[in-house]
Amino acid sequence: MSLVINKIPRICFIGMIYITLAASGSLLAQEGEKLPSRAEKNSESEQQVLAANMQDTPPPGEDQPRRRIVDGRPRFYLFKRVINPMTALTKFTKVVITSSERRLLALSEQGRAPSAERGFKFTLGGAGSGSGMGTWVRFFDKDLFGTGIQLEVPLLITYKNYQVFELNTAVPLLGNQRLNFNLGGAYRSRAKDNFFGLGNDSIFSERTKFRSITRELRSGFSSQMGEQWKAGLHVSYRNIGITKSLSDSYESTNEALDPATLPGLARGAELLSGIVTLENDTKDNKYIPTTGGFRLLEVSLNEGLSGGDFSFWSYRLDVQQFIPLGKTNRKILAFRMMFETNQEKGGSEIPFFELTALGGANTLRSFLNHRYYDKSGLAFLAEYRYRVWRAFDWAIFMEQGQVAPEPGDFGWKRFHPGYGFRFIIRATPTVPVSFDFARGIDGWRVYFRFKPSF
Amino acid sequence: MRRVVRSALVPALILLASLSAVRGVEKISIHPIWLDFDMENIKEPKERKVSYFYNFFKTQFMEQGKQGLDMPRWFRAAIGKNKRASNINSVDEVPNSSWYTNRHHLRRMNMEALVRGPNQGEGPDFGEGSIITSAKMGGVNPGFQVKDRRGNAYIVKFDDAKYPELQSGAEVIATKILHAAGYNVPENYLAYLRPEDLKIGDKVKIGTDKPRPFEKKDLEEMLYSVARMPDGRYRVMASKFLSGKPKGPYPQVGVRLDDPNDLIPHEHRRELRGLRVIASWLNHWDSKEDNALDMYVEEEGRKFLRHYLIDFGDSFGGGCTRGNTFTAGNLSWMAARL
Repeated sequence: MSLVINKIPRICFIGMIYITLAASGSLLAQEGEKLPSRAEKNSESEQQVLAANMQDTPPPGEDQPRRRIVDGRPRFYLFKRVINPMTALTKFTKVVITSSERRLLALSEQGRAPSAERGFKFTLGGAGSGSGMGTWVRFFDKDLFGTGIQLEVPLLITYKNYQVFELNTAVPLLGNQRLNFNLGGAYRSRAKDNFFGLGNDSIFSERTKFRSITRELRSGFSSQMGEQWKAGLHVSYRNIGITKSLSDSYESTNEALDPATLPGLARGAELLSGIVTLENDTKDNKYIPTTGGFRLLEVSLNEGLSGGDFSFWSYRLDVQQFIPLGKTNRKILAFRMMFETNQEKGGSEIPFFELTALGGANTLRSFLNHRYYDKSGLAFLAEYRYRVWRAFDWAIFMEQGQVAPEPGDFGWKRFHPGYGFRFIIRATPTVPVSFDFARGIDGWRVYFRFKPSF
Repeated sequence: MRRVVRSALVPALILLASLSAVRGVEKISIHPIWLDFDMENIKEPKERKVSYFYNFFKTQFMEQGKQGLDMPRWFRAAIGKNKRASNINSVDEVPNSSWYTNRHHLRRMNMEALVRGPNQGEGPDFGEGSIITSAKMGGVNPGFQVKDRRGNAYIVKFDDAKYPELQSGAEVIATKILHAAGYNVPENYLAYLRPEDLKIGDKVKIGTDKPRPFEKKDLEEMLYSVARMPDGRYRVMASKFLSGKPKGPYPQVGVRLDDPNDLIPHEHRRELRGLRVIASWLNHWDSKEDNALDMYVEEEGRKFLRHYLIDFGDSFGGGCTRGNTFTAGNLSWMAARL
């Protein structure tokens, strides 16, 4: 016997014995009363027995002998449940989920219950492509001192040390958001943004990083025109400084490159911008829509006040469309086109950090953040989404993009392709979480995003 | 010594594992049992709390995983000898118990009895003087609890404004069918009320995170998105409070350990297995653990748990407040072993 045990792996041996004995034991099931054999069951006599018993049996509720159909609980049933490996995992999960359920229920109630006038909101999120994840702490007051003025103070520090501190106010001039006057300021620190060089053929190995610090004052008007249209007219002052990145892994851009070759690298820029935006949103759901589309047009004129001879126009177009296949909206085709171009005025320059950057979670997921820089950029994305059940989708996507000095320089052969797949989970009805796995020329990228924009 | 212990350990484990597969004792009876008397007096059990998200996770993943690791089950499936239910009598029928009562299929109910269903009285009277005693604003189905003019307490649910009469009708009809099929269900009525006749009780609060008093403006907000009749009344589904003390739902798998009457693992109860068939027929896809309720009742001097099914508004395509999604009816909430 010991010889046999030594030759067969012990776990397999125990498993085989368990299966054999348990299987034979399982034939002795707890069955209550002995059942008629199959032959008896099919016979007419069995039907007669049943009918006779029904006649003999008092109607339900009347006096019947008090007895049990089984003698007791199944022997070792609880033991079998306890030794099952999933039981320990179930107990652990219960502790985690029930402790956070109260908050999740409150979040789902907020969709229907009247929301608070003022307070603090805590949400997970980032500060744009490549910033990492952090907790947004937002103080808000929807009716400041009873004046109708809305105040919001969002604060964020991500685990990559990207920082955002903002103060935003909106003064309603016409009701229902038809016209608001906006005034706000921000401090943003992007700790280690990538720079691979200018152009569509920038080399991966020439990766450097830089830190940008932006101080902004912004004012203007915004208008909600019906349910689908939004417009904005704003003036913004930005003081942008470029310094050594907070990354030790890569050389700092302002040390690796000659500042003379890259406008804005040495001294940053002070920019005064006038921005016009027009937005049309027909999506049926803000984050994971099944129908409709989104179109954004932004035109801005940017004048440099110091740091260099900066003066340029910036044009940005973002078009998204979601097409359901079939009647159930379970299969969705999603398309996105992004176009941006920056045109300097006269002989002026454009700061390098204001150029179009492609790559990252919000543009092309197959590429590193800010993989390609140039004055103009064009990208196409196509995605097929399938809703497995109410709270879970999966999708496959293909995308391609290129940058070029001028829109006329775009070419079909210049596109950099990428592809990937993703899973979208609705943690709560209003908070989708997306896990994206994308592959491009530089390898695989993985993203974890709350409330993805596409 | 270590060798002796080790060599004895393996057979001991094997023996224990095999014994775990031997369940109960076979009973042979000449006269079939038509009453499984699981209504002995028991000590009052604690209320069993359920967690919505945990229940989802447990039934969709954990119980499926346990099933996957249940080797005897795989073996039985391989030889085509599935495990029979444990509470069937010698004529392959389910005896009456605190879970189930044989009704229509054993003795045909007439139309009047089928239409009446579980309802005993006249139904609610939500005229002037009715009091709201509790409210629920958020979630899938907003509603409140009301004490009517006769002093009876009801849970009141509304229809969505886009789908009037959908959920209320579906729930009442499903109640009649499940009652006729033999299950314990609450008395569900169609009723009508006017908001001006309702008075808000003093201690009514809403909100999970930060409870605050339920006010008239909250009632107006709740009624804004629900179906209203042209004459200003609201048609509601009013579910009469069950008698006894609520003790939470029964677990869909296993037994309720604090109930000595509960001897049969629920996944091996014929009436609960059969419920899957009936629920499929009714498209009662929300047949989950939360939508069952054990009531600690007193009958004939004995106190025990009686087991009810509740909340059938999702039946017949009624689901939620948006009509049914495409997944409803294709993905079951029932525990893995059913």
